[in-house]
Amino acid sequence: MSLEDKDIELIERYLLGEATSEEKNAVEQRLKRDQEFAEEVDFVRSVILATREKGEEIFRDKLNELEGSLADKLEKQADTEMGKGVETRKTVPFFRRKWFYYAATIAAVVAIGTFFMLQQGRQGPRLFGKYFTAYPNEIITYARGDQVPEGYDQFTQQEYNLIVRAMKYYERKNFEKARELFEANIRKIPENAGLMVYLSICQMQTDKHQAAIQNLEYVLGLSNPPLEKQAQWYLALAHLKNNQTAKAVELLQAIAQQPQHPFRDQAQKIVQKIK
Amino acid sequence: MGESIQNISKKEIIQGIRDSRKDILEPLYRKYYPMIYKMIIANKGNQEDARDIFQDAMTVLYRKSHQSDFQLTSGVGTYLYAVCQRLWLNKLNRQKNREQLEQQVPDQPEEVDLMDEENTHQQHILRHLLNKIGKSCRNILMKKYFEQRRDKEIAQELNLSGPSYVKTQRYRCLRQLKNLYAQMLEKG
Repeated sequence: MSLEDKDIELIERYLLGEATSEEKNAVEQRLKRDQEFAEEVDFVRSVILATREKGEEIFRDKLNELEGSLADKLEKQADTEMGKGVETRKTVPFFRRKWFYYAATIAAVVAIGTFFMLQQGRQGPRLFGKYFTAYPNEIITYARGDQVPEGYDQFTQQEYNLIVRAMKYYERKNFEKARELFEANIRKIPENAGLMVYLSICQMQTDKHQAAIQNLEYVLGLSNPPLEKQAQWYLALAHLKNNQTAKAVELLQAIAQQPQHPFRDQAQKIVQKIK
Repeated sequence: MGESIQNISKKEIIQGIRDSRKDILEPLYRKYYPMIYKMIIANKGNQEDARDIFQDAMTVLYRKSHQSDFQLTSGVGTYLYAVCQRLWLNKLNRQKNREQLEQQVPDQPEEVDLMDEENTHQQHILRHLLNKIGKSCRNILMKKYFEQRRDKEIAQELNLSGPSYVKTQRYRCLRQLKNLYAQMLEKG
């Protein structure tokens, strides 16, 4: 950035609508003759728009939280008011409760099983549980106008809409539905590498660890795939969950040796604990 | 449950949306989501459609709330309902299934504008890179460019020494972002 700070200040004022008419004219004249200045204007404009998207992402996270805690109840009330009654709802409280008991029983059995496994020194799944969190959506922007954006040409409009829907499920932590939609729409091709990382995370969340391992190994076999470091981290965790500790440690050590790796600290801690 | 939304002024609601305040968003959700849900269900939609459309409409309002010249001439509920109808009609239209709703859509309040904007590839990468720069850089850029706060306010809110420091830091952050962007392009 060889332009001076005062140039950047002028660009900011221009783009944020704070420039005087004199300043506006000056910018517009300079845009015609100064290529470097014009590029800087484009760059700052893109940063401003990116901050807006980021802000919306944070806002949507808050709405997702509210949706998680309120939507079911409000929909049920609305159904009753519309005279639909509970019988037309897809989810019926009685079964939900019954499933809850089943789920709780299974969880208890798993917990007891895990306890005995730990007693035998098998700590992979426990470490997995401690360190696994779903990676935030960094690749799908909700398309206003629903156009297939650049970089997703491999999808038809209809397929892309389903990918967007899958990512919405993902952000709402409905990993089962997200996985189903991703699996149905993501082909195993290099163009889909980034999305395959998210598919793998859904598979890990729904106990399909072997499928996740195969997908992540495919991604890491590509040359310079997107989300490569994330794929390394999640592959290590998938191996941990599968009790393939040696493979997990090998990957975690490789991560721990990369100073810029976003999961370096976590990898170091896990390796220390296993040792 | 917090205060009922009817007791809160329109101005405060818009301000609360702008600041993503839970004490504003929650009563809004409770009050208006059921209305939207009913409209979508009655017009060939399902639960997921209703949730998506309501969230998209709230996001439209959120975006609007950051425009200094935005004034809501109608009530918040009327506005949200109109935006949801428009969004849902667009969706039905795409599904070639619009006949049922079309006759019911009244004239829209003037400020209903879905603001379709093209997301450039550069913007998409930069959004990703905003997660890579430090938190303090991200906060400074967000406060200035997204929330459009003045440097003096940013200094106060982020507990920084003063407006000139905010400005210097922001330019440093821009350079950092630009370098990361260049590196990413080099990597292809």
